[in-house]
Amino acid sequence: MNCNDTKESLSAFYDAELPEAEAAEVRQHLSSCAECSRQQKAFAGLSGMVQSLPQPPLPTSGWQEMQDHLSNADVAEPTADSSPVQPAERRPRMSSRFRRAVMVAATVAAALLVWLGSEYWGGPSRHELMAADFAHYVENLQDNPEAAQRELLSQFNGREIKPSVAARTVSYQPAATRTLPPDFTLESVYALKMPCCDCLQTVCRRSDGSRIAIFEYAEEQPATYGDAQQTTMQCRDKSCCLINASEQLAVTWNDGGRQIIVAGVRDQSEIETLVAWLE
Amino acid sequence: MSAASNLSSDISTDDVDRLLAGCRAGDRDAQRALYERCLPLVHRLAVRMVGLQDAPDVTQQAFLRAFTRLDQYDRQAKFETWLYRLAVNETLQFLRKRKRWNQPTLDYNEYEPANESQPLCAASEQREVLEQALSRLDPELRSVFLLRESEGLSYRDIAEATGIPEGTVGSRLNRARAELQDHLKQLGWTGEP
Repeated sequence: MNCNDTKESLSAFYDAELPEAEAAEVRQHLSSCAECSRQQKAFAGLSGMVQSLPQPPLPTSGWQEMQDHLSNADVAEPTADSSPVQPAERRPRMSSRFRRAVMVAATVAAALLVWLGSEYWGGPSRHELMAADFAHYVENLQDNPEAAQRELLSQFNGREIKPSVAARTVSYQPAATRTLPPDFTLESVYALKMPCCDCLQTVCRRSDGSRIAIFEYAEEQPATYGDAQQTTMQCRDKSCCLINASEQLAVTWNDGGRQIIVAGVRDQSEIETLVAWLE
Repeated sequence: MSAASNLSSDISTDDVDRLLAGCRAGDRDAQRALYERCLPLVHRLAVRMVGLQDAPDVTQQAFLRAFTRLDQYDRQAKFETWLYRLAVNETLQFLRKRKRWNQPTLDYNEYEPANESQPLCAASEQREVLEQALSRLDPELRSVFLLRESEGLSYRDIAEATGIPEGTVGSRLNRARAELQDHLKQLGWTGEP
């Protein structure tokens, strides 16, 4: 066995994970090679350094906070992935186009939540977690959009509501109760309990079957998408922030005391239509 | 003694099975017992992966995932290995997000027990430089290294916990150890290694 072979096997030898026959060859090489032998001693030095690290103090919040999380999870249990769905209750599968639209919405919402988290919780840790949860949601959405939507709803105590109920839960006239622009029909409305404020998610369908997802937050926020590539355009004196995603646009602007995010937008012309519609 | 072997001595397989059965039935006492017994493992790994400040949230998230997905634990691996896998995933996901949002990297050195007015002793200096060197390692390499050196997992368990083939654990460790030595040198560490 030469030095290269030995170095390839050195960690496995050091960690006693090498079969005995190979270990014997490494051992023999080490007995006659100062360089490889020095390397093995360096491994031992690293182990010693790691073992000398002090045990970090355990968090004080601990079980009580965990129990609160679990209580929320218990409430959401009936909508979890593992819950059986009777065929008669099964909804039609989302189209791939809608799947993309909702993914964009989730990504944009995650970016916004990062900002919201930093403002309302005063530190990066929770909003990072929130973003991570949304990322998980987005990942799941690729394979199982219905489950991902259910997870989104359970995560934010969301529920499907009637449009008439939507109008009673917020101080503005939500998209769900407005006369829709030509070519759009209302599909479903959800109420989400975000950490900052209430949010309405309205899903509309175009005549060709494609959808847009509209998120309306109860409070105005400055637009930010983190480090995502973004552009700003003025539309009907509103400052709209856009990002490109999956051959579609996502756009956000403030209006009437609320922040609006629309995912699945086709072009700037459609943005103008939507901004005018939601004024 | 490694953390993993500590755990093994604390929780027998029967204990784990009993606690898991209770957890699945929604027994809060069982959940609490499992949480408190496994908390040191998950939290230590989280501290060394993401830093002390963010470790509690990452730890809670890993446990929440564990408790809400216990039905996915198929007993192919040891329970603690499965839990490590969730913890590693949470830390890596957290670090990816932190990088994406340009947050500062690690916040080690926050549990310095010594009197600050005193000069750093050799042990503190060693710890500090090691933590800095660790923070410079690629997170995935860091997780493999820590699972071995800090948590004492076998190559098989590391493979289970990180989702890499068992045959590549050794080469990842070779790389992690070599890079860590380089980082230590760059940081001016003149002691062993």
